[in-house]
Amino acid sequence: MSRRVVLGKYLNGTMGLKVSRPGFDALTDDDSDPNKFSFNSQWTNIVPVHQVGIVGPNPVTFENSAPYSDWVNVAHNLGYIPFIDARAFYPQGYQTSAGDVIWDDYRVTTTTNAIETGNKGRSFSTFISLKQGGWISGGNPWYAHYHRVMYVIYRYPVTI
Amino acid sequence: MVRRVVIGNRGGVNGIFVSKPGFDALTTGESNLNLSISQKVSNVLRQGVVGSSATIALGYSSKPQVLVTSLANLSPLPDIAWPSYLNGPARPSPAHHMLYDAYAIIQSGGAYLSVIGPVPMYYTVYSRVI
Repeated sequence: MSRRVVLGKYLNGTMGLKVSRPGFDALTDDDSDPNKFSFNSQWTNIVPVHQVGIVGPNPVTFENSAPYSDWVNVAHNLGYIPFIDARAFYPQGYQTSAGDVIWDDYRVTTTTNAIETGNKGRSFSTFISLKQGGWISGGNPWYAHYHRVMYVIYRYPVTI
Repeated sequence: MVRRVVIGNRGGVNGIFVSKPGFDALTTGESNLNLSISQKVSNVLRQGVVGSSATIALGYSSKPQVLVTSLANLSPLPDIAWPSYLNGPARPSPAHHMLYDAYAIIQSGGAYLSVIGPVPMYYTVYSRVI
């Protein structure tokens, strides 16, 4: 059994908290190696998760008439434009009884009908804006297709 | 030398707090903390990469938030030409290609995660319960 947690003075004399992965000694193994350590307070490039959540209609709905209010805003008040991530999300029972479904980017059903699940996001200094709907093209009329959106806001600024 | 680790009471809140270098873990704002056990935000529980569709045992009793991202190794899609050195997260997703989907299903109330797609994908599991 190896030591998994060090709290206090490291062997190099600095103070901190570090946790090793199973099989690695938290006191003596290389704490700059993320394959050996799950946390080290000496790491300077840790990006905290500021906020995660789900927005959008529940239950998921289809709409076939305007207006389509398919953008939804989420406040974060960080004061800078943060990195964000978002995916289309359907609760269990809507697309499959097996469980909740998270789509990566787009979903395509046939060679002629492309469903843009629409996991687009816009990031601003006080809020983010997420697109909770897309379009089913090839139909007549075209249908607005609504879903929920899972999002993550990272506490790290987008600098341009 | 400033305090980098606080265990116990910090501004009336109990928890474990680790600050970024140069910031006092007892008094600095939450935005300067690398770790705050008590804060009401999510943490990344795990990440992983699968080369193709796979089921991962999570072992949770509630459903966590999950994101899945396709990687740009498009060799399983023979009708797309893509330089091999460009492997990595891809946008648009390879699933944008006709008839190829990439998605994840959280199953059995959080016990399992199925990651499904024709290309390599990585997944991220957050501590937030959905």
